[in-house]
Amino acid sequence: MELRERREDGVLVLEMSGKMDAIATPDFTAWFDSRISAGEYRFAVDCSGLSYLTSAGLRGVLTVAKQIRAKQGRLIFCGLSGVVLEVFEASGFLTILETCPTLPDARAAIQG
Amino acid sequence: MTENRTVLELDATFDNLLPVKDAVSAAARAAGYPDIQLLRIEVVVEEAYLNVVHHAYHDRGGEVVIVCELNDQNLFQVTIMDHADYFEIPSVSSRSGDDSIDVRQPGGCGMTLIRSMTKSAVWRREDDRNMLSMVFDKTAVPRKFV
Repeated sequence: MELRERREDGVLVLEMSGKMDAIATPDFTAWFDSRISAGEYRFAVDCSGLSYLTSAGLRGVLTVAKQIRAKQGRLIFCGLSGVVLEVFEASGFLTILETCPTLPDARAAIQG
Repeated sequence: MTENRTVLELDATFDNLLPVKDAVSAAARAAGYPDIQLLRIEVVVEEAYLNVVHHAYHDRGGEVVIVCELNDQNLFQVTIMDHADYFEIPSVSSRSGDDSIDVRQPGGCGMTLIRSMTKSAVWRREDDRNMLSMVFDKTAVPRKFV
């Protein structure tokens, strides 16, 4: 899995690609740990390059989402499709997390 | 895959997760399964294999045998066998998915994903082994955000 970050209009964008499995998930949580420790609380996560995530990935996502919620921050996932969307849907994450179809939608929602 | 059958015998450790997924994925590809199904198969195999590693053998290792083959309906089937104590993986409850983020606790989605991405997932205890057989459709419609 690859993680790329950039800042767009005050929103920290994390672009994910590859496979978010039990091997790669610690990189995801470590990335958020470091950014939250640095005072970042507004994130858009672009999943359009992600092939899949497993339950280990879901654990990481939920852990991070709870951390950000505790800080009154925003975390929006976008670009969900294919197996990634199936996993979000089957696990119920579509109803407990904020999602948007595209990155511009996510960015606008956070800035809203 | 020899005669449409691949058999892996290895120690059930976390370090073997990637080789297991690679081998099963290669067997499914050799059986003519498309890329989108290989992804689903990898997800399901990770869930089932790590259940054996973490819950059946409690991270202490143990023999696991994985058989990949085409069943009598010409569908790709993966059977994971272990010699751990009785551990009925499908008895693990699935998430309802209607929790709020405040009450939802991490974990517990593995069986949900196995059920949702397989045509069938059948557990049985045979010859002092736990055996989980999972069958995959050859095609499934890719999902898009709606």
